[in-house]
Amino acid sequence: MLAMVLLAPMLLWIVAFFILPTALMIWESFAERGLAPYAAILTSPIYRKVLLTTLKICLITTSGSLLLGYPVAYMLTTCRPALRKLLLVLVVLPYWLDLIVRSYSWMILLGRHGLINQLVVGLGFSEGALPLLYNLFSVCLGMVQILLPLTILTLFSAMLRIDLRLVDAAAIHGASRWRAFLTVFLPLSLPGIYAAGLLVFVSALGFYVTPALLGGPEQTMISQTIMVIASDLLDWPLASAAGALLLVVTTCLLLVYSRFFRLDRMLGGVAR
Amino acid sequence: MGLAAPGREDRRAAEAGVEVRLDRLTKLFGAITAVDEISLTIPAGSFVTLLGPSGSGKTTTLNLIAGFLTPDGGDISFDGQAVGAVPPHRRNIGMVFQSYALFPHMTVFGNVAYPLRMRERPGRAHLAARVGETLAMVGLSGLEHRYPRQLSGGQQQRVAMARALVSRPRLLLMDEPLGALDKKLRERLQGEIKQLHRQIGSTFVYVTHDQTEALTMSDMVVVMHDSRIVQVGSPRAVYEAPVNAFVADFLGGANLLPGEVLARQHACYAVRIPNGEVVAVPHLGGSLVAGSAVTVFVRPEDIRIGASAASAESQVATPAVIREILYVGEAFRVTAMIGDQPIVVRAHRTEAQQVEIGRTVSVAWPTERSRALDVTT
Repeated sequence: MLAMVLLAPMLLWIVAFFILPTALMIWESFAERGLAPYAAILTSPIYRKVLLTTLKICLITTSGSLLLGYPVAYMLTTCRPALRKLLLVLVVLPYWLDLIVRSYSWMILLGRHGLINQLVVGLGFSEGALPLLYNLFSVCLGMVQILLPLTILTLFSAMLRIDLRLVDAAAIHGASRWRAFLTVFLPLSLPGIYAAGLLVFVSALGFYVTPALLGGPEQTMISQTIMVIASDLLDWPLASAAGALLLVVTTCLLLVYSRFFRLDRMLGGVAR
Repeated sequence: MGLAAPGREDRRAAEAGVEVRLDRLTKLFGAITAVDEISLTIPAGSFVTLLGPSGSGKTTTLNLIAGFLTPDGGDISFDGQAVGAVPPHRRNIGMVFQSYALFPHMTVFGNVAYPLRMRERPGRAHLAARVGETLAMVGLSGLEHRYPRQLSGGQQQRVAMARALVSRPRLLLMDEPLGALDKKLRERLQGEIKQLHRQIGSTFVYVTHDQTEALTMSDMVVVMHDSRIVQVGSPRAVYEAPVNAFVADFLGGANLLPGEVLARQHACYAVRIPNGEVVAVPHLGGSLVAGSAVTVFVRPEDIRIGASAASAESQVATPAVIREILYVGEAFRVTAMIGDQPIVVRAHRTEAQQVEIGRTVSVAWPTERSRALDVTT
């Protein structure tokens, strides 16, 4: 009973600001022209391309965040408590900077006349400026930077639950540091990798500002497209249908993922 | 527990216990000295227990031997070879951890096979044979495909033993391996561990704060207190001839009566005890002078009370007032007052029936069962 009372504000919040708007959006997509907006989107090669681009960028971003974030989280887990505090502050620090400011900083660094190109050309490593901005590379770079704290903190909280005596047990029974890591720590950190991967991927799906500022036309993501349909073309049913489809795709991914995750748990690949 | 007849390989292993030598070993944690210049030789093939209360440095010592910690001073050597620069995985040690530290993502087979996979490159058949043999040794055959979380505490303990033993290490370290188990199981496993030690012949170093465990299992007990070694000796030596009040008390119920040395005679001190009487306590070469404060030590089971106290010879007998009689199952625990100091007697049923609370009776103990402990050590 008390639990229900305590839950009520959150449930109300979700209903009022998430479920209701989503329902309205879906209703909107059907209201005027029936299934026509869905047909338009599913048959349009442009929309399919944008969706594929979005998935590609999200996949690269997720992999990049995990690859860069894992060593940091590992270090946070195994280092001395004093050092851990300092490192955690450094990890969280970028959160204090506005998203747009961070994207613009990348533009200053990566642009045709940006810091890096001036150095590279100035020192004679390259004839002309390197194409660093407005491409897949810059979009993924910007997104990884923004999503890295989330990745690291999720991995770190999962790694904290691993009993480090297990690594000692591996070492005393003949495993070098590297093999102890591969055979014990890494498998036990898989739940953390799954959780972080999922969170980062889903967050990346909705990115709008970063691809708009750091990407070219080729890197147009689904959120940008929906924005254009809604605010430039003023075609609300079409925008709603695109939004609803994104929701369906995301939900399907989540379902497949959670199934895979639970399967893994059944096989025993989870820390205590 | 099923015991396979020792083959040629087993007998070779039996000769292969390692001698461990600690030389002025020191470990600091910040400002705290966890291990303070301890020196100790652990004979090859022996069963040695580091015994002490928590914080006495025994687990730190074990972790130094394992190589998990780097000493801040002193040396460790195995068979005369310094191992300071050898990482844990090359020390060829087996270890049973306090919470077992079994790999939760591996089956029993995977856990026990782990040291073999890391140390050798065994063929599949060889691996299965060695793991099966070791599991049979600890009585766990048939559970190969279970995960640790599907096992009882006792079974997990045996898996941990099997993992530690499977590669026939010359040194086995055990960090309170029975701490999490109930009393009955603990006693059974004590016997099994002792048996495994006899069978394998490796050097066993066992850490515990349980004095019964230390006394029943060890060839040699190392009593630690405040980061130092207080006494090293056989279980009988540390129990019956403790060097100071701490050891006397830590190894089991000890009566420690404050007294004053009146004279040093040819074999004994004459000591005044709290009821004003003067008793004889062997000096065993001690050099306390008249007037020194001393603690008279005697075990509860060495004291007789009432009528049986009067009979024996070469005894100390002194009056005491009965304060409490407790039934503890196999015996009675009688508390009597010698002056203002309580003395605990472990009394047989017949003895206990002869005494009453409030009565003054005679308590007696054989002189040679008592010790004069210097209060300054």
